[in-house]
Amino acid sequence: MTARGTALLVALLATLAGYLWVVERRPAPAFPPEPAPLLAVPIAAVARVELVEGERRLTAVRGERGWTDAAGRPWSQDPVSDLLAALGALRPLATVDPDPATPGDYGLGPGGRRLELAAADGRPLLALELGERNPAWTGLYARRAGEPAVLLVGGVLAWELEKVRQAAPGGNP
Amino acid sequence: MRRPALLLGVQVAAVTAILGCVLALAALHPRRLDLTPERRFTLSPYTREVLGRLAGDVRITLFYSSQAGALRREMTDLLTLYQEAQPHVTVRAFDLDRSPGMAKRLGVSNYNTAVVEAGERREAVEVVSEEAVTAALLAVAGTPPVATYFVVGHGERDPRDTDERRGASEAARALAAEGFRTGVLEGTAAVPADAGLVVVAGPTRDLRPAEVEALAAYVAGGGNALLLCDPGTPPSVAALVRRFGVELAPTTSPAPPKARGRTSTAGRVTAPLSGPAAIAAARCRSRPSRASRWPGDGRAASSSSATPTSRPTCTWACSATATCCSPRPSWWRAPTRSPRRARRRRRAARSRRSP
Repeated sequence: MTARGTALLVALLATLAGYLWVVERRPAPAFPPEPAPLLAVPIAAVARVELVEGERRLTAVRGERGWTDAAGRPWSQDPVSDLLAALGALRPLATVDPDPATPGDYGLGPGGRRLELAAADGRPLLALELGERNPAWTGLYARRAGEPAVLLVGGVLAWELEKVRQAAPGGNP
Repeated sequence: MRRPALLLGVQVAAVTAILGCVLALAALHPRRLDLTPERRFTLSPYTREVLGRLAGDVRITLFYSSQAGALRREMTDLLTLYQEAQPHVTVRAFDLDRSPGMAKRLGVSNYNTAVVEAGERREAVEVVSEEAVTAALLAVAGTPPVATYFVVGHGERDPRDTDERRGASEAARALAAEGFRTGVLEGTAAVPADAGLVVVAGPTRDLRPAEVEALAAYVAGGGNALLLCDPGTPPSVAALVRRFGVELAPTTSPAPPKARGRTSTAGRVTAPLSGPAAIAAARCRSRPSRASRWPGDGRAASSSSATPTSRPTCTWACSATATCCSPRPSWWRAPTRSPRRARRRRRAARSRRSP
């Protein structure tokens, strides 16, 4: 191949490379950082847990002898610690909708279930609005209080909440 | 000496870089060309026919899982083929977890489920495959299902029997997938009024004269019948088939090992297969067919399918105009063939036809 041929090759390469650079260049996909666990503080810092479901309010207060309800009755098992362990380990699977037009589709909205965690001094540590299970029942919709984004969290949270409901002092009304 | 070496180096580098650019462009703008011998990534003629008959709009909604990217791509690729083949079809895809409201409205609770909708009619497809989607299309937008009756009582293959050698459950299932509603008929003395197709699958005992007459009258009146005849067909059935213009071969010997899975001709047509003599008639013609899937289909009036030993060896008596049923049942799988062998077979067939 002559010098002219080589020049042609180089020109072709320059054209192709230029086209790729100018027309086809796309920004590199940005991988979002791993989301923080739902409960970002040590479990030991949680002194009060409240699960509000409509008219019903389940309360767990950390005492010297373990978890008791608001009246001082002990919880029969230790589902509250399991719930806290789950909250400390669970990270949102996905942000399914950053600002839903119809939160009701996810079972969220006024009158929905709430889970509130507070420290010994009354400082709120976590407030979650709980929605429905996802259609395939592999997760649970939730969102942090005051934030519009709907999160999908693992279905284990629904299981731990159910355990809390079942083990509530005074039975499960 | 230095200059040619330098030029060569530049040339090699340039060609390599050009190839790299071409590959990058190909990756950015993928195009697909189905070169598989079985045309695996192309809609079957049957599906194309079903799509071709669509008159109204059909919407296919797919609910995928964001965790299964490869499966999602596979499903959307398939559904895109439907959309490309028929402008009446629109395809939407949603992440199930992100669309609980829509999933609830459409009654979907499983990942990787498609819902086919046409007007008020709706059909969910749990396993998104071409067969299932086409069946759902037929269910929501096709013609009403043809009532198909399998005659039993004379040693026929029973659609309720799941035994692969004796039963016909697979055939019934395949028919159901193609929009036929299957049932069982004890004898043919009284063919139900809603019968769109009567199947007599390999009788081993004679039909009673009244049954023969009733079946003949049914066909003469515009009904459709499919008679599958094994070697040693009872005389009454052979006589019935003869009335329709098909002469069965006296015997059908098993194919030699080399010819297994191929088609050999047996029997002959003694009358034009049209008009009232045709076994399948106009009512079935509106049904889509899989006929073009099989080599030689649509012209074989009587042929013996020397199939592998696990399948029944039948003589399929079927009209040249019959489009309701293939000369091969749907469950019959053609052996994998190379294109070269297929060309050779077509050439041989042409030479057989030419005087």
